[in-house]
Amino acid sequence: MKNKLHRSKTYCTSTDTFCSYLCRSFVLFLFTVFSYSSIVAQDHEQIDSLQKVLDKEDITDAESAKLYTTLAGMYHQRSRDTAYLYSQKGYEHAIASKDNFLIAKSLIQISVKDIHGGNYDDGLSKLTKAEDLLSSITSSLDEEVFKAKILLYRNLGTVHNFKNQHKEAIESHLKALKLSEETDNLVEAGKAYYNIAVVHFSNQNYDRSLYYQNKAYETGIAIGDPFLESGSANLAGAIYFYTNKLDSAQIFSSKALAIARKNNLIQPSLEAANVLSSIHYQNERYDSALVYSKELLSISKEINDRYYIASLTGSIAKIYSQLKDVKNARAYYKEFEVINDSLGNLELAKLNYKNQAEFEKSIGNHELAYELLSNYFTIQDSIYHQENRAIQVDLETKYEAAKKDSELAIQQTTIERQRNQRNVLFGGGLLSLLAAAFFWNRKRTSTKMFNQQKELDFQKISQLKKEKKILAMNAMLEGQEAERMRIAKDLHDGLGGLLSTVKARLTKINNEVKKIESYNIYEKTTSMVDEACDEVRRISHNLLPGALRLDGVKTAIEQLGEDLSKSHPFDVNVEVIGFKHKLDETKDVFIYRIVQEAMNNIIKHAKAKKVLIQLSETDDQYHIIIEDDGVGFDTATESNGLGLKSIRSRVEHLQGELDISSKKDEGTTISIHIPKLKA
Amino acid sequence: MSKILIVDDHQLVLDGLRLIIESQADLQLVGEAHNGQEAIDFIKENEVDIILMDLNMPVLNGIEASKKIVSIHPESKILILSMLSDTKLVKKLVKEGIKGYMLKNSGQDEIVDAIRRIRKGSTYFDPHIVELMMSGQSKTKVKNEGIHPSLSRREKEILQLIINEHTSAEIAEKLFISLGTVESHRRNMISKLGVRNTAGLVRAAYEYDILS
Repeated sequence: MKNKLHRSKTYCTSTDTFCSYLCRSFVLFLFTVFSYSSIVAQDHEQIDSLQKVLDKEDITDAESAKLYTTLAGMYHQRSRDTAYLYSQKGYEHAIASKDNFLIAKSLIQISVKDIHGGNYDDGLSKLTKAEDLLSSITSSLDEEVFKAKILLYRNLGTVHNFKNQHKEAIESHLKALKLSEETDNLVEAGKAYYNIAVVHFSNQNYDRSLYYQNKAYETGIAIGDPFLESGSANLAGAIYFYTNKLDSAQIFSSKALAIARKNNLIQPSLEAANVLSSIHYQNERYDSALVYSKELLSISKEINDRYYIASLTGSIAKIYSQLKDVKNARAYYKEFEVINDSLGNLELAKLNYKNQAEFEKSIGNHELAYELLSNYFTIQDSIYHQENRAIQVDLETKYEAAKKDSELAIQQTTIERQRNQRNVLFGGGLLSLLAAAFFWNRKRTSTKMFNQQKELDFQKISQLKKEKKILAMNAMLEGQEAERMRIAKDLHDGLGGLLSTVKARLTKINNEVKKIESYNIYEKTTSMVDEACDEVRRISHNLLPGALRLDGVKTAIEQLGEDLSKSHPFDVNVEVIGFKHKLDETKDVFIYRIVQEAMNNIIKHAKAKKVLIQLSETDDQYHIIIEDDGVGFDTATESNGLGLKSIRSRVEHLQGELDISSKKDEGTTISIHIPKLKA
Repeated sequence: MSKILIVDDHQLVLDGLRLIIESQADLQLVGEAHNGQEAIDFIKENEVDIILMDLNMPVLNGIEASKKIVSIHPESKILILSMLSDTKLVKKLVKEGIKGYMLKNSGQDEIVDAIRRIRKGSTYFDPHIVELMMSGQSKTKVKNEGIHPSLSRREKEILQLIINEHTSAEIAEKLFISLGTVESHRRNMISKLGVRNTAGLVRAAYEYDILS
């Protein structure tokens, strides 16, 4: 329990550093006329020749508009300012040409500047105008019109997402998707999938996000687009990170990083390394988190993104705090302050004061922690002040509350400091009192009597300690089994049932729809469902075998013996004497786990040819024997291997006796006796 | 027309099975039960030809339910439909008198085919299960009641010390185990060899030539 609490606490504190950072890092595909790969030599020539055409005098407005729009698209990846300039010129010429399509197209383009600059309402009004213009164009079958519409809806979706209007954002992206699908444009469809996934991700709707992410990823692979592939793989990593499936998260983000690195994609590399660093931090693998964070820092320095640089310096400081590396932690906190002084990001400053305060507090430096916390609240206040200026009245109460919070927190630190002092005093007092009593006692009693008393006390204490230890272990082991049982049941009942029903319905559909082209889909889907069923069965069996759950330990161990002989080069002989009925659940499961663990050891180390598993019972005991004819080991030195330890703790839990005897090259015998009455 | 009862604790599965059964002209769904007990109650009141039964169910699981149903109506035809592929469970169920065993991801045609075969008095077992059962035959031996149980090397070691007239305390000290553990071993041996006391143990050791 204590352990659990601790973990969830680190989860909270770590996510505030990484969360604000992680969420920010997902970039939507905004505006791209051609492709988003960087401009190659060929394009330079193209740009030159386009510019030459523009220099001609007899060029019409419509032609100029077209050329400027094209140029803007080409420059988008390279220099945003140049792109903005060209799109503005394109817009002016389009207006002069009075061509509705050209006006709409350039409006879509210049909205990008508004969106990048955070003027979402301006961007939105331009896009709405463009939408009206495009809908008035009758030759809607034109490919160019389709392309413009796709861009329009993509940008609209992006603005809505930035404005936190998730529903509208998704609607727009879905429109873009529909148009892309109608024109069989996989490149655009892939981007639409990715964008929808990002919107669902920002809305914390991870299931839906995963669904679209998967489509984006598959499309990325199909069209061979490393940007989409890496971006969507990493999005999966982030989703799994937030849903606390850290192993899956790591797999996907590592994949994303590999793709990004291979193709020299800077932004995706940053994003992937970012998620990976967060995963390692979450897993308390601070060393690995440090490696990724430092790599991130060097990339950010290369592209000179000051927000990233500051944020990462802070993250590294926090990792060093976790590693208890005082020198480096302080150095990075210091460096962060220097960087952030010029950047002036209050949110980051606040976060880092708080982290630093926690760190100083954890190493007992209460004075400095107090000071840092005060800084934290000063910034907190000033942030509220800033907001107050904008919406004075509304935030007045909020500010008061925050101030109260800050006062409370400062009081809390003071109290804690005082309490620490008091504890020392109190502890010291108690100690001297004890010492006095001890000497007084010693004077009175003869040394012999005193020693006897002491020994008795020691025995009592160690007995108590032992009982306490067993109690704690019982709770842990039982909790573990309960959890396994719950997962196995969920998997088996929930997913298994669902899958079989899907299969039944599929079969029914297939019987009704006899079209040849749909038959292929049916075959493929059915075999996928079958595979899923097998997988559910396998996982559920590993967690808790069905035979154990339904019929008790006797059948389950017979099954285990059979399964193991099939897959390993030794014969298993299972003997069961008695065990007519199911035992109580804990005993059933624990005896099974003991045998399973012993078998694991045999598989790993024994090189046995024959194994005997024997279950027998007498009036008041269950007896379990696991004997092999393998290489054996030295019981004096190796009796605490991981497998044996877990067997020992389970036997202790059942208050049974464990006897392990082993001789080199003769084999090992594990005998266990478990009382019937006590649980 | 075959009258069919389906037993499963998941409505989704019941719905799926209903779809399948209702699509066949010669099959008639007469009832649905959500656990073993409901199934037993149903067959006491109604006539049923074939019972499609899940194993993992609350209240009364499919193994217990099958056992009871066969004891009430020995002519009952039970077809198990489960996610589990533990061959030992299948063997046990066959002993209890079930007529077929299928995995839940079987297709409609397989299920319908199995029902028709069992209706005609034959049996049906999922090919996957049959394969597992065949491959498991050769190497494992499972010994149960009535056969002379093995003594472990440790037990033989202790038995030898007993024969050499060591007391339990001496044995404990010699083998670095507790007195209680020596006693547990001794009682287990007495029980396994079907004798009454330590003297019987020594006699059996000579009689069966255990220690040679």
